[in-house]
Amino acid sequence: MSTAVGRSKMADVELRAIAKRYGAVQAVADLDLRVEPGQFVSLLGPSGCGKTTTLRIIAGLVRPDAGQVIIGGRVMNDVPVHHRGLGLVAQNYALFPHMTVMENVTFGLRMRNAAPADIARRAGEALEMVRLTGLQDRYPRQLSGGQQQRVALARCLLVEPAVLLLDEPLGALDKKLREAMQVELKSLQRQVGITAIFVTHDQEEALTLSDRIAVMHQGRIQQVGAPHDIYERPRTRFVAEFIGVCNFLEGEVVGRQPGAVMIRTDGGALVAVGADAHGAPAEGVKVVVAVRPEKLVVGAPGTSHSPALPARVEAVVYVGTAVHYHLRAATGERLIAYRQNDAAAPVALAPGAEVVVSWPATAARLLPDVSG
Amino acid sequence: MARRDEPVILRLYCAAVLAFLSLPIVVAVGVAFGSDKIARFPPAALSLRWFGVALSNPTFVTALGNSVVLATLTTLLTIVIGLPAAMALVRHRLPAQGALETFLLSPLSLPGVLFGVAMLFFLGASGFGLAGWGILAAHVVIAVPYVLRTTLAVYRGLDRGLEETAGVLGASPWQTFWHVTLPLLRPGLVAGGLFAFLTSFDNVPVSIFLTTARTTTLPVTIMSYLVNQDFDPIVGAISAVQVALVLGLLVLLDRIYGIGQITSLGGQ
Ligand SMILES: Nc1ncnc2c1ncn2[C@@H]1O[C@H](COP(=O)(O)OP(=O)(O)OP(=O)(O)O)[C@@H](O)[C@H]1O
Ligand SMILES: [Mg+2]
Repeated sequence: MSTAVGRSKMADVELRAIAKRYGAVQAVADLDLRVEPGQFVSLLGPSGCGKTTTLRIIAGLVRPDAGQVIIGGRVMNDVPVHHRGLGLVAQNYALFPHMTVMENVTFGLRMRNAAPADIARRAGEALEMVRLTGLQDRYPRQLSGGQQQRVALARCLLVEPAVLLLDEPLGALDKKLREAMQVELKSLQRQVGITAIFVTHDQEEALTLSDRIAVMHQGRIQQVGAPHDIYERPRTRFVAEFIGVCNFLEGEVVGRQPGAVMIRTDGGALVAVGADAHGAPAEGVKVVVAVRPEKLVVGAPGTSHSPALPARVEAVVYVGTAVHYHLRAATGERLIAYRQNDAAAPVALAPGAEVVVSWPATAARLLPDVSG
Repeated sequence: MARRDEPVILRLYCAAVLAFLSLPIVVAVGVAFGSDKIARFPPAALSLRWFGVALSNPTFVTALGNSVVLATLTTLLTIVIGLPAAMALVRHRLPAQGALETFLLSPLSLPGVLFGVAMLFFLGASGFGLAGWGILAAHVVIAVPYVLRTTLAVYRGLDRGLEETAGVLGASPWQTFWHVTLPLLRPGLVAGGLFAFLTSFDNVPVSIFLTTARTTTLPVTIMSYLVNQDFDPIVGAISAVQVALVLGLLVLLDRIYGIGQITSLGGQ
């Protein structure tokens, strides 16, 4: 579709060493981020990690203490909010309550003194695009949450922003509507081809929507990467824990083999972890082994390949599509394993069963131990 | 407004309060419609005679005109002062913010007579004398808190994100003020402005110290008339005119904004 609203400037965004402090709180610290033109990037992290602050710094609503905001190759630090040419959808949508849907949607164009005929045509297209045709004379309070959300989106897109900034725009919706809007938002963003920066603390939402995810923790970006990259190859314990569920075994490097590192866990078990040739830690270094629950293989004693941890099943949780085994290794560590509830292997294990737990060496990740 | 499921006793209670509040006015105004020279309620025979007498009395007419002009100017000035003050107090971090707000609202808790005397001494000692703007300044001081209070209440309840979003969408600070902030503050301004007008329009304790024969206001004139003569239908008639003006103003505002919206803000 190549409508007027379909045009976009597709700018790239670059943050360089951004910092912002509120009193004793370092809201954002030494943050670098590159967003390529047309990409959908999520800022993901727990509450209070600085996502909103980062977004507001990009928008120009908050002045950073240090660092540069560069949009479309232009340093924006001293460009006032209303000259940045961006779009913002806030969590509560911030629709103007005294304006109709039409007046809300056309706000940006009217402030730019666009020609009335032009405004009317583009507004019509935008309303059609977000499926709000016919509601243009309603006031925001007369709309459902999802409709309000689409008005906020149309209002942004109409000004053809260089970048679309979204601060938990789906946070106020119930689960069903939220999932429908995720699909809609993503297809709209792709259709318009706009650069989007999306703030969320919902990891599933980030995985679903994003081209790339920036995981934030205490004002810093811990890792930036494609969703599968973040999930399969987390670089820190925080990232592994925040995205999905993960088992951690703390231990020490005791030896190397070609393509793998041998670890003695604190409980005394010996396990192998696949490691790239470069960057494998030296002997004696404290490390954390991370394995996703769905990568664990739970079997009867003696059946498994090494390395294998003898363990006892403590609880079996049936969740429909899968079974979750809560396990306690003979060496003391607690583990959780998921097993797909497929026809070939129905639920077999009961609490108290003695098993061995193993995994392919390449399924485990070696993470730096930051606790020690 | 009484709903149908309200208990009878509550309805009776409300009726009694309303009667208590309005009956004195009904009597004072009703007297004006009599034809007798002596104030009597209910009037023995109906006549508009005393309205004619009151409205051809130059003292009353001048005072009425003064009061209308004074209350109107007071309202405009309190808005011009109260609106920016409220905006500064809500959206900016000022030194001694709390103290500043308390100071601006303090005339509310100052006895009128005391303030009137103080203004009188100030105008005398500073050599300004009792020019018309002296009383205007005094009325603005006592009326600003009303506009400030209602506007602060509305502004504090307003999502800051609205103004921020307007900015991101390309509205300059001035456009944001004009298209977003001002329309959303209007209920507070109208309610506060109404209180300011009424405060000025029926003020006696401050006005009585600061008016001259030329700048006298209607309430002051009525009061001195009552001191020198007895209560007679002329006073009733001019009071009726005053009440009618205020009612007219309320009806006008109701037509434009809806009185429910205005009164609901007064209590915040
Ligand atoms: N205006 C402010 N004044 C003082 N502290 C602030 C301000 N804004 C943010 N902070 C603090 O900065 C930190 C980061 O806040 P921010 O709003 O960016 O978090 P967030 O990641 O968006 O969290 P959430 O998911 O809860 O929205 C928090 O500790 C917060 O309390
Ligand atoms: Mg936030």
